[in-house]
Amino acid sequence: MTDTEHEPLDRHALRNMLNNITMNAELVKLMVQQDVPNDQVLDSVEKMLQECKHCARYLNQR
Amino acid sequence: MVDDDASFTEATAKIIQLLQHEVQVAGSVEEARSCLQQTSFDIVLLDIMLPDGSGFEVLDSIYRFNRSAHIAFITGHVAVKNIIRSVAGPEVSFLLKPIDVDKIRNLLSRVVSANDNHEDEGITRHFGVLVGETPVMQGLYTMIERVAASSANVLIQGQSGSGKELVARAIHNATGCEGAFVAANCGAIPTELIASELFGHEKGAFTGASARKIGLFERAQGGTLFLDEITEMPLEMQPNLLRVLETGKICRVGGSQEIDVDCRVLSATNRSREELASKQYLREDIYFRLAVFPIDLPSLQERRDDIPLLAQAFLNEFNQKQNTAYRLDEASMERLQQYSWPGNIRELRHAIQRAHILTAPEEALLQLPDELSSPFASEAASPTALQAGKTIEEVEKQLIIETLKATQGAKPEAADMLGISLKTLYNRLNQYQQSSNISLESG
Repeated sequence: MTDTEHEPLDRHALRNMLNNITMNAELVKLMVQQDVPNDQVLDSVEKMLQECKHCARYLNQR
Repeated sequence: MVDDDASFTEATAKIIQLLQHEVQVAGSVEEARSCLQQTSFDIVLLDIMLPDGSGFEVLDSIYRFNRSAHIAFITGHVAVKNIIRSVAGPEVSFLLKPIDVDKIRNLLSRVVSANDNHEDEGITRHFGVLVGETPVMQGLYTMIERVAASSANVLIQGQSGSGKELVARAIHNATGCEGAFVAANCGAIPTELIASELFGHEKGAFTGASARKIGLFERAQGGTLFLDEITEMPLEMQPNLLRVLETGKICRVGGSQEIDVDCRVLSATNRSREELASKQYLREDIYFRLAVFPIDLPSLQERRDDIPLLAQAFLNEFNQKQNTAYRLDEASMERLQQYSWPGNIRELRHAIQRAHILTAPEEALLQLPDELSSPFASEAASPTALQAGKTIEEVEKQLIIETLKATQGAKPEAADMLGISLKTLYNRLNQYQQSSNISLESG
C-alpha cells in the first residue's frame, strides 16, 4: 500500500485520544495524592489503557 | 462543562470535584441551554464543536441566564483563540489541550477569587483588582481592555505607590490567558544573578548551581511576565533581554538549547518619560520593544474622588481579616480627601492599616491618627495645594499658617518670606485668633 492509499490522519481525533489519556493520568495523580480508594484509581488506569489501545488501532489503520 | 466527549468529561468532572468544586456536564447545545436555565454557574467550560451545533450557540443562553458566568473555551489549537475572541469577546479564557490539573486549578481559582472580590459593599473591583470610578480610571479600564485583546508589551509608568503591579495584574486577568502571572523586581536582583533569574540555569552552570533552575520567562509560559522597576536593570544586561523580546527564545545559563517562550511582557517604572530619554535608564531599542503600548498611571492626587472608595475598600479588607466592623465617618473621609497622599495608594493603605491597629476594639468608628503623613511623605506633603472655591481671605490665612510652620513659628522670618511687615503679620494673626481658636504661637 502506498502513502496515497492511507486514510488521512485526523489530527483532531488523535488529539482528543491523547487528551483523554492525559486527563485520566492527571486524575490518577490527584486521586493518589488524596487517598481515593484503589478501585476508583484502577478504573481510571483501565480507561487509560483502553484509550492507548484505541489510539494504537487508529494509527494502525492509517 | 459542555463537551460531547464522554471519556473526557467524566475524567475532567472528577478532577474538578477533587479540587472541591461542583460541576454539571452537558453533551450538546440543547442540554447546555437546559442547564443554564435551571442553574447559575460561575464558569462555563465550552467545547466548540458539539453534535447539534457549535459552542457559540450556547453563548446566547449564557448571556441571557448567566450573564456573570466566566466563559472558557476548550480547544486543541492556539490558532483559534483570536477567532473565538472576535465572536465571544476579549474576556473569555481558553483551556488548551492537552489539559492538565494545573491549568484547571489556575482557571478555577482565578475566576472564583475574582468573583469573591468582585463586589464588597458596593465597591467594584475592575478586572478583579482595581478600585476607582473617576473618569481617569474609566479611561484606564478602556485602555486595559484594548491592550488585553492584543499581544503587545506594555510599559506602565506611574509614581511610586500608584498601583503599577495591580494594573499589570488587571491586564493579565483581562487577557484570560491560562498561564501564570509572574512578577519580579529588577531593582532587587543582584546584577550577577539577573540572567539566571530571567532565563534559568542548567545544573553546574556556575559555582552553587547544584540543580537546574527554571527562569522567570519559562515560568510565565502562556501567561504574563511583569518586570517591575525595569529601569533599574543594568544597561549591560539589557541586550540579553532585548534578544529574547525579539526572538521569543531563551537559552538557560550554561545550556546550549534554545527554548521557545510565549508570554506577554509587562514592565513598569516610576521614572518619567523625560527621564527615560534624558538620563538613558533604558536603551532606546529596548524601550521600543517594551513600550509598544505605554500606560501612564494617574497619581492619587489626580483621582482624589476615588479616595473614599479606596479607603473603604482597604477598611473592608482589614475588617474582614481581623473580624472587626469599624466604619469611617464623614469627618474622617473629609480628612482623607484633604490630605495630598504623596505616597499615593500605598500610603493611603498604610494609613488605614495603622488606624485599624490603633482603634480600640470597643470603638465603632475608625480612629485616624493625628498625623496622616508618613516619614517619606513630608517633603511633598507640606505645600498645601490651592483649591477652587476658597475665598481670598481663606487662601491668605492658609498661606500665613503654612509659612509659620515652615519657619517653625518664627514671625520675623515668616513676615520676611511673605513680603509683609511684622506689624501686618501680627494684625492678621490677631484677626484669626479672634475669629477662631487656632493657636499660631511658636512651638
